[in-house]
Amino acid sequence: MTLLSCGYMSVCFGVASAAGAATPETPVLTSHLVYMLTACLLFCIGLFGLITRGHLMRNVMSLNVMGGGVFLFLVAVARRDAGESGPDPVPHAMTLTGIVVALAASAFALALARRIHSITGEMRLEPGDDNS
Amino acid sequence: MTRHDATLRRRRRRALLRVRIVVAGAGALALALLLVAAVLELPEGPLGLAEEAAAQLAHTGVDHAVTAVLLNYRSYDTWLEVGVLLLAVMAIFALRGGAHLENVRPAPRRDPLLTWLTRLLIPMLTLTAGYLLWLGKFAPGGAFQAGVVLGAAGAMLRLSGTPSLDRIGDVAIRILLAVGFLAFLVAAVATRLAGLDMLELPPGRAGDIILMVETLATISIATTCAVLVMAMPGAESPPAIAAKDVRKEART
Repeated sequence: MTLLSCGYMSVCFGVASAAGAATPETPVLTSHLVYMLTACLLFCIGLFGLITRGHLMRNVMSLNVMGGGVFLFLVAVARRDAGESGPDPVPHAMTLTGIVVALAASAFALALARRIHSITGEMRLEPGDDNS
Repeated sequence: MTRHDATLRRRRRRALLRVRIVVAGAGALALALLLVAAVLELPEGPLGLAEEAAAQLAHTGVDHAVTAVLLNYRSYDTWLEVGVLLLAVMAIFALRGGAHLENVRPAPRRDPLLTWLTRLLIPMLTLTAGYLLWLGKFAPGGAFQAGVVLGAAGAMLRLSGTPSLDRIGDVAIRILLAVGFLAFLVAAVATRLAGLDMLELPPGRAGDIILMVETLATISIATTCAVLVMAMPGAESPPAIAAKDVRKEART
């Protein structure tokens, strides 16, 4: 699994750099562009984990990885759109509230998972699923 | 016969799992490529609202743009986000079947390090939360940061076995949870009654109103974070559960 995700990551990085080199109108590889591409990868890694893993705890973690990608993207966009007076405050405010809301949502998801565990005795939705 | 069936079923499950990994991998890879292409195609130059936010900052009652966005320009968003926190706690209470928090297990006696650390950290966390709340007026800080720090103090009290929110009663907990949402609600109704748009703060009083709403929101966010830890289903001590089960069995 680790090998697969590592391979997946390196392929994504290769494609990203190839696309960056192929299109002449793309700006120089700035730091916020690197953060934005990493955010896209994080989101997709989280999505992959969410689909392939059956364990509910891992699903909550996958959702948080996806959320981390979104927050990283928002902060990078704020840096990119910085004006004279500093970074764009609107994405910052969205990230700030988003983190607290993600915390509450994760807590609720874990509460649901514990409830499922206490009823079925398993931390998964499909009973016979041996994929952890 | 049954063993053969089981092997067959396991093999089929494994094949299904492999298909799922391949399909999910292909889908995630395609989405990654699409997102990367979208990022590379983003129009150049600053597109955000940094300049607009800075231009009106003098009328917002605060000196920090992020706080201005959170509690003046887009306070409606923040109001609903505080509402989402309230909803999460209500959902967890619904899963437990009530707003009652189990009383905390007493801490292991004569654990001087834990007692000392709790006594040291709780006042420092409270002080930091207050400082962060005040800092929001002119620097990064504000209700959410302060609330999370204070909520962490509540979680620490719980984990170290010190009674805190679990001893103040259901009604008091409900009030503390709802007070942030209610502060926004009162501000919204008051601005409407004063003939302004909803949550349009008058520039002269905006600073005071924001500080008041932020303080109440901090209390609610902190209580929410602490209660999310305390009210997690199955957080009771194992012996208590066992005793309850025994009693139930004896009755039936």
